[in-house]
Amino acid sequence: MQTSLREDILEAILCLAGEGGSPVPVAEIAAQIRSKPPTLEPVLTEMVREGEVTLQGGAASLTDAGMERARGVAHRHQVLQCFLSERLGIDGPSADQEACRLEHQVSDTTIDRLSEFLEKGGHGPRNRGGTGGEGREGGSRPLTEFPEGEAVTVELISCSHNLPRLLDLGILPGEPLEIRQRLPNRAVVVRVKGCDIALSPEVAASILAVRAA
Amino acid sequence: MRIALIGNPNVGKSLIFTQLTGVGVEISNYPGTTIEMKSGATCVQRDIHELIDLPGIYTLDGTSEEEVLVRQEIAGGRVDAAIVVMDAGHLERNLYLLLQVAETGIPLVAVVNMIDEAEANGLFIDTGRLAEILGVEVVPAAAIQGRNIAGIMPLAVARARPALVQVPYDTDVEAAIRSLGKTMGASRVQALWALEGIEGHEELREAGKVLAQEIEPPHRMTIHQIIAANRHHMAGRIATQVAGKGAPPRGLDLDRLLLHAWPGIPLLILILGAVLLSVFLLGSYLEGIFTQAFETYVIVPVSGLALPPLAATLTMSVLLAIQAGLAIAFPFVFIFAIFLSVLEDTGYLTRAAFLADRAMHRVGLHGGAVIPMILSFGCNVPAVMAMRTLKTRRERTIASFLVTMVPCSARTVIIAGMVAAFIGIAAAFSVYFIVLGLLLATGLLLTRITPGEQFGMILEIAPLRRPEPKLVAAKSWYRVRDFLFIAFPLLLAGSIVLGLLNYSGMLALFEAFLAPVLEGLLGLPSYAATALVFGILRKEMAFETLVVLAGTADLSAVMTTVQIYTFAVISVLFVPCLSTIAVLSREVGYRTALAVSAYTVALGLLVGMAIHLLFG
Repeated sequence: MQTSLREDILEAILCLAGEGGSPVPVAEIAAQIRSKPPTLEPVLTEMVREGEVTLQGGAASLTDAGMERARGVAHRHQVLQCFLSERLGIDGPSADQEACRLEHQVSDTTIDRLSEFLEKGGHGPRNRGGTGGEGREGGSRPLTEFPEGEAVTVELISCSHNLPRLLDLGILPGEPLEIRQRLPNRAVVVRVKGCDIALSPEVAASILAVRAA
Repeated sequence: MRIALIGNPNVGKSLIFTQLTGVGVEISNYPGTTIEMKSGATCVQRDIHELIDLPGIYTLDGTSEEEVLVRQEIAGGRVDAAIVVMDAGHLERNLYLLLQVAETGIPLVAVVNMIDEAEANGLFIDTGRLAEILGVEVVPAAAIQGRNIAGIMPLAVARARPALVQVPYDTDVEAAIRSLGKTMGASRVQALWALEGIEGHEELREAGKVLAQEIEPPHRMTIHQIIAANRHHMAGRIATQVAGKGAPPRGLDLDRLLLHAWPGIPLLILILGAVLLSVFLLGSYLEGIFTQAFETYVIVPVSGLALPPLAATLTMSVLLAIQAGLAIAFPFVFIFAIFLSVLEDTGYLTRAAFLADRAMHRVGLHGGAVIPMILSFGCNVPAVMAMRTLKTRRERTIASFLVTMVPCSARTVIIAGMVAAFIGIAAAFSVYFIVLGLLLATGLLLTRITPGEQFGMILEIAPLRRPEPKLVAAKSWYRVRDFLFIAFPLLLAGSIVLGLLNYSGMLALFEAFLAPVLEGLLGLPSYAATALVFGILRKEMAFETLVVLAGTADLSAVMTTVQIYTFAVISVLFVPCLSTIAVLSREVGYRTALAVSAYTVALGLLVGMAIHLLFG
């Protein structure tokens, strides 16, 4: 339990801190993983002692070691969620929750094999056109990870039930987007159906996409 | 007939509304909501029809206050016909909403607005073909030039009819619609809403839920995603049939500058700084003129009249309230409203929101909250009204506290008039630092304790446009009118009550009662209590009343430096003014308004006490 909470915290900091690695307030971390700051504080103190995180003025940032571990967790989550929803047909929200539980137990070898399998298998049936637009670096990545000007196709939106506005604006799996702008904090502007839409980092991070062909 | 304008945000609905109605526009609130309803009368062949401007929305089947309201207006039989306004440049996205309106079966006409802008970009739209596909009248229009606007109403009255177009849904969804129709007698749109779980009686919704749960797993999507994808697909197909490709818009892409951290953020700070500074300079200049003129031509002559004492007190209270209202409303609020409407209509505000998103996350808000925060430097009242753009209860609660703590122009008068004048510029800045520091601390605290979920920002960046003077003027006027209608009656009532209390000697009793607190804990003279109370009416009256009660404009003669500083800090922090409290309770409920008031009183007194203990 403790390990999985720690990994959740690492993942949350990675997701919220952006590239600059700026410190993330504990309250934000708590909100991200649906916990409360008092629950997190003892765990964070322990993580500081073990050199994964530094705490300063109620905000946490990742150390290099913490960053490496966080990236690993995030990668496991992505691969698992992709597998669960694309291959097994588990619906978006459940796949996300399921991936959250599995990511803490699964071994790296399994993840590597699974990732390879997903890439070979190509796209799920939802992808319109089927022109093989996978990124070379191993399938889908969050929108926050693409450079400006990149044309991408949405693969998956995690926690989409929290973000109904995305549906209204036409940001759906299979939809082509263009990354118009991105700020150092990873907030992005995407162009969809000719309209520019600004997304907070946490929203952009929950949209997984592949580079368009 | 009652006819409604419906469309996405930023499609020029308001401008069309202004042009079609002209005079006799009424602004009221939809019953039980804080959403504004603009309605006006238009005349078609000697018959008068009511036109209403519904709030701009992206979808009919959402759950936000605006979406629910529009859905109920359209489907509830209260509206006889709809005019669906679309932006020619974003036809596909706009058709998504039109298809949903069409599903309700309401008679409608479609307006393809901003056709001039699209054509300038080489995008031509075959409205004849669009009319054929949709099965309704389609008007190509350019509201900015007034092109084809006059023809909209006659067409809506005479030729509005239910659309023929129908979204072909996924076979499973279609089967579910048929089954709900057969077993429960639901219409197509009722069945769809039941599947999405948003409308319909309990039994129908329950049946819809069961069917939705059967449909979802094999599709690997939620029912909302399936339905939305089908509609978007249809909208896309129609758009490609009627619209050409169009060249990429504009030669120079200003967003390359405005939306990047560099030079976007320095530009943002520069623009906001310039706006605040010019509002303050222009505002205080005009305020001086207004106040002076009112003093010379009204107050002095009236106080020369030999009225009986009670009547004199009442007259004076009323006059003081009018003076206060005029001096704030016109100079500060109106000028600010003009600048704001310009920023809004050019589309810059959405860019500011994007750039400030990160900073706002720190205090539990997101980029969308930037707009009310900026506004509150001018006046808290319009700022509280602008909090409507925040969607969740949590955000509005946090914003209520923060917005009302921002030093508005009236509080700036206290800081400048007392601290800067009698102590020094550095001390004046330190007051700002204390207030902004406490604001930040409050934000950090509230993020931890306010219940509710935090959602990120998903905001459409409005296209950059030249603002339309007529619309800017109209918008600014609505904003001031709003302020006048709420603030003025309150100011009048408050002023009269204070005048009467003073007349009856209650104020003296009150002073005596509070004297131990003021003298003992805060180290202030007892008459400062009255000054603070007057400050609730209008913030800078705390300073003005103090001068009157002290009997001299040279405060340094009767108060020590620490006393002046303490008084200024307390009155700046202490309770937002009466108008703000009133708007706050209208917008977020009296509980939050009370909480904000209590918190700021406590904060003001605590900080005052701390200053007295440390330096007094």
